[in-house]
Amino acid sequence: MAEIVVLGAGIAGHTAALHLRRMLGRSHKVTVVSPNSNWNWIPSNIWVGVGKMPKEKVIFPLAPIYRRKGVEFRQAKALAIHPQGDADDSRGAVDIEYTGANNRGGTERIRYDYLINATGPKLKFEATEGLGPDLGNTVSVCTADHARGAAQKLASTIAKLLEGKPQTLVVGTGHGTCTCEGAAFEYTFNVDHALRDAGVRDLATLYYLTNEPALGDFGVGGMIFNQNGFETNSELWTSSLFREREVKPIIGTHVHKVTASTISYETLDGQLHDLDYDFAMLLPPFSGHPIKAFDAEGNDITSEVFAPSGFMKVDADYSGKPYEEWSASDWPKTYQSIGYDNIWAVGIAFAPPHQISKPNKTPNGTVIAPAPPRTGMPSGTMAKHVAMTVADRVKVGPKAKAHEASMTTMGAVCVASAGTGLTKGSAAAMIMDPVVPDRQKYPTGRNLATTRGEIGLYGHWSKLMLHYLFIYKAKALPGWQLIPE
Amino acid sequence: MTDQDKQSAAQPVLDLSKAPMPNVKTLKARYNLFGQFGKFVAFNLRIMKMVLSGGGH
Repeated sequence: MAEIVVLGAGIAGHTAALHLRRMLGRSHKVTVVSPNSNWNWIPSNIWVGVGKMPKEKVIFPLAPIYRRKGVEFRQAKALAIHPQGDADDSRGAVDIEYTGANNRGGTERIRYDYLINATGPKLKFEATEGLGPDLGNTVSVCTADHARGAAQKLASTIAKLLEGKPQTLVVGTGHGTCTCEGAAFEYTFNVDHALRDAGVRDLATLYYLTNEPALGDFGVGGMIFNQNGFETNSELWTSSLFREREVKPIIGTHVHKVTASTISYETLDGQLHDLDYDFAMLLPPFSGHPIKAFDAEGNDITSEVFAPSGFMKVDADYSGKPYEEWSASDWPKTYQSIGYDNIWAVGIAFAPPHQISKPNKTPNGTVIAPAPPRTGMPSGTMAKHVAMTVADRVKVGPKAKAHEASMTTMGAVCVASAGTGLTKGSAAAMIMDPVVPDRQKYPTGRNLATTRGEIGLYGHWSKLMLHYLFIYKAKALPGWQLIPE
Repeated sequence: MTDQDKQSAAQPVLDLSKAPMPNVKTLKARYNLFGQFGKFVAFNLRIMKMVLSGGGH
């Protein structure tokens, strides 16, 4: 019997666990460790954040799904891993701390034969003074609870506008190293739509404050599209949308501080600015979760297993070569941990070898470098492929070849909602193929036959379809495995 | 000039005056149910093609 432990139950961890359960007989044990009791379809948090969807529609409890599928579930967070085992047992182990109401604070060491790290991001609001909904002054849409808070704050801002009081709203990134700019972009246009719906758009000034060096960069260096016989780019395409919706973009920013009324930020030219605001949704930067690693003697080997960012080192090129010299081959293919052939890291948990978008530094030395996004589609795909590798290793043996799913060969879909409604909705629908450009394979870095950017009602239908399809899949209802990642 | 306008003038807002604006035909096309249904089908076929051809191996 093999014991497989999956850390995290987000898109990557949950996908890996369900596929492992499907591919391996019940004689093998699959255990999921997640501090959260619910699964969250994060892309729809945007709708929760503008009050168009209740929180309950984007989450569901994990325990009943795992009970039905025969997956062990521990509501706990990982504290440390022991990849070489310890004095009692040479098998690997993970130290966990329970987070559920019944046993909060209790700890346990659980053994594994195979470990998949899919812990997702730690939301580092503390990286910017005054950032975040708990200890800071801004709202967030990163979790369903955050999104509900954002909707309440937005509703009160709209109420003031309805009283005839002009308001300034800011949406964007709260640090120079943020990722997921697509989410900020999407929330911007949903806020714009909510303001228009309420008939108060003319009294509102809406800013998009971003660390991207250009509009349409999205942390992936932008995209080239083939459109109506011309090659155009995502910068022109998104600029058009911003102009049309009268959103004021401020690019290449690092936010230093947020008070209750002012956002202090620096731009790429080193200039410092203050922006007074009434409502602000600013994303935090991400890091890995603070998981330690120890060898068999108990020595700290965290720096060997994890990058300084807290993300796990895998089969990527971490030599630190200059940005201009990186190539597609630097990116991981199997997601196997360095030094341990029974540990993998998938989704946001693996350490990217370098930025995709060009990193910059201001004359003051402030780093403004959008981090590479690892969105749902690639996260699910890499999780499935790692699950296939683990299943092969269990069934065939340790020499079974690892399955590969490089972000330089897989594409991703980003449907950025810009308003809801089956006949009035709108969305910017983007396909980037591949996510990480391969300039040796494609002159523009990406496949022009599939890479697209379009705006329209159908984008909203697609987003709605993805919402229901992926929640169906995550609930492991009949035929779930037929729905692609 | 409102306080918002004064603040906006002081911020390094990107100049979008050269960005193309959609014309009436384009705006209407974005909400044309038949046209959008066709795009919906094409978009999803394109995704399936991408998933089947390059999602990993």
